[in-house]
Amino acid sequence: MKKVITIVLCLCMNAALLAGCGAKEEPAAAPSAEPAAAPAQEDAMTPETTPEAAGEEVNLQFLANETPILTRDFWQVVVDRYTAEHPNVHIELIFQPSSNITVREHAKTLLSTGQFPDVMVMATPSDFVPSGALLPFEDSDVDMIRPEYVSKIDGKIYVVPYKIQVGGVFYNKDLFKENNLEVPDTWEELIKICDTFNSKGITPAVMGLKDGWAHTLPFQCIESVDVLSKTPDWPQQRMEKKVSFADTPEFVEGVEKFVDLMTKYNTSDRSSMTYAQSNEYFFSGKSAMYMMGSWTQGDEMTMPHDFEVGFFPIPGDDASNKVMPLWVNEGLSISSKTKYPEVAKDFVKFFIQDPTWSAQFLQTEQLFTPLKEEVKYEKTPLHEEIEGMMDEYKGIPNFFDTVGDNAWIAGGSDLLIKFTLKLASDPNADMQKELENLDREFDKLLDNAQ
Amino acid sequence: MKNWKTKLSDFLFLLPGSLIYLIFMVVPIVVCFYYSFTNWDGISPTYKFIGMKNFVNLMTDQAFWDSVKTTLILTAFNVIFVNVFGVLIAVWMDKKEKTYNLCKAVIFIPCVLSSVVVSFIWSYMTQGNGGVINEIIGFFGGGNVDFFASPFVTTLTVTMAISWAGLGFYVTVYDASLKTIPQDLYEAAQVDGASAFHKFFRITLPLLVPGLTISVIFSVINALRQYDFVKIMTPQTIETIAVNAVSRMTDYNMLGYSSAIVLVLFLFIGVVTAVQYLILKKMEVDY
Repeated sequence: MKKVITIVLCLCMNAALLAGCGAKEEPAAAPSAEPAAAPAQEDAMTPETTPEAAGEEVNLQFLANETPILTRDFWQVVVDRYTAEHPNVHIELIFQPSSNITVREHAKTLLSTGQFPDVMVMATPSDFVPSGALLPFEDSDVDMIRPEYVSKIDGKIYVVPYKIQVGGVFYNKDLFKENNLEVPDTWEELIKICDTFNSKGITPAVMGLKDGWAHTLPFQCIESVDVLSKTPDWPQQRMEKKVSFADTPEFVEGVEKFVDLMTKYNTSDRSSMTYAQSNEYFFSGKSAMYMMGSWTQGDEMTMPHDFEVGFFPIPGDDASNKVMPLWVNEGLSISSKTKYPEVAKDFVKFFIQDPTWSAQFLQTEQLFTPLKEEVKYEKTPLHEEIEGMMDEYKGIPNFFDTVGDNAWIAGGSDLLIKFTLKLASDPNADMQKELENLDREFDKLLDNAQ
Repeated sequence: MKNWKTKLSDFLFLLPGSLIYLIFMVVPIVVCFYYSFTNWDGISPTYKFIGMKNFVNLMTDQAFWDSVKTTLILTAFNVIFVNVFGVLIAVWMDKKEKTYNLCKAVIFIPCVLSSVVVSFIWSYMTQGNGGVINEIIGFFGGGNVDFFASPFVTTLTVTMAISWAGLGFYVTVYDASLKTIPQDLYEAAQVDGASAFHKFFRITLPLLVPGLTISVIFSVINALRQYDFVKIMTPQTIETIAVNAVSRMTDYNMLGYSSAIVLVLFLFIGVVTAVQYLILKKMEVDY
């Protein structure tokens, strides 16, 4: 009898092991040597046959980017606004599981486990387009966006941009006034300003390295001004192996400028300083300048500071080259495997165009809109200062986040991030050797691509 | 002779554990081996077989060799620290009759904390501005220490945290090993006039070799596989082999290449473990 009970218990244990193995839907297909299947093309739907008209319950997943400013409650607002108008649509918000994981990394994990969300925040479509994971938008879907901000990969639109951000230098106007300094028009003038602050014991331009990405901002802006303003399709040329990093004098000079900024004009404990601590350092008045993206305006509104904050674009060698690096790559994408492509597109359009949400979204980080129509929202004096400059300066893509066919191959910008981190943090790094290594590794990436 | 019912129940008892081992240990290794010969990016539905190309590229991959150097430095310092201090603390603790259990509990606490939690704690402790360690140094009049000043210093900082977190486990192993040493050997040595120094080096250490074998092998394997601490604590200026492998997969979409790195690491750990075992086994003595 005991043996029978024992055997039954063993069988139950084995059954319990397998209990979690049920597939809830079609599992991710194993990769094969067959050509990739084209993204599903849904049949043309008439208003009578859309899920909404048919009263069908629609469930969508929306992968959003949680940050200290863009909280879960913040994103919930747009979901609630949309579902109030479309009661049969349920949108589940999902986020990256921790701040150490980017939305991009989380999206890749979800894709590889067959759980790719229907709608997602997307800044790097080139990571996902080769696998056919994203559904292309029609030209009519992006009618409301200014054409210069719509990017295409192989002639197709995969991201509807929802914001524009700029990169440049936030500066302490009071410190500049006290030291009789003017906003620089050239790189040489900027270095003189840095030397002045150094001599007074004030950190010229703080930049923490701990988070592994913040330091790329000055690098991106410098290379945009030095390289992209003269050769806009340089990334594409590099990916076609027509040029190299080490043999492009403008790129190398940009690297030297960046290394000087990080090592001579930064804090001594930059390696252990996080992005949040860099913000705090600047807004507490310890650093004269802070080279960062325009989302810093959100911190300018919330962090206490007792000086006036100004902004100027990073200057190049030539004062007449008035350019301002922009990010236009981030927006919303749709999964090619979504069951409800029309509803997903409708939600994306609502997100971009609903006046109330649009205003709230742009106002929170004092963003700039890519829409043709003006969006009215409360702007800070700093925001208006930057907006005025956008008319005066020509917008160019930021170096890491080029778009469309000019977008870096998957992993390309990560190689650049590691390259810049090495030079910024290791006092013994050999720049020439690192440049050659960068070229070698980049070529391996290109060779590995399918 | 076992009858079929006994054999069936033996088999069924072994089945859950074997299945788990097969699914989570054996199958991933086989799959990893397979994909290491492809250029699969981890998300596309297709890939190509590229033979040994990933392994050939590894030979000239500076980032990989930097990660090997970092891993070996980390391993060397960590293994020496946890084993030397593991023995010393176990011997010290063994003499504490009244506070033995308390000492053991306190030393073991870091081992029960998640490595992610410990990484975050040490990350805050080692901050340049406002970190606890620098605040203490400042209190005693010292200047700020940049715990991430260079890749080598960063490696030592991470090793310090890893050693702190793992020390309790090795103390426990050595403590258990100490308990197997017959006390009459010490009494005989005492009668012969042996000093504490002689007792330690002539009795304790030689008879601790079985414990040493386990501890050294475990500490080497754990150090060679290190990921969490390096990923969370450091400003990404150093990589261990594991961090390098994962970043190849997640950042560069090179799962095939990442598999090749993991396979090389697996084989390296296997060889190192086998060599250690053979050497340390020969050192065991029996009085």
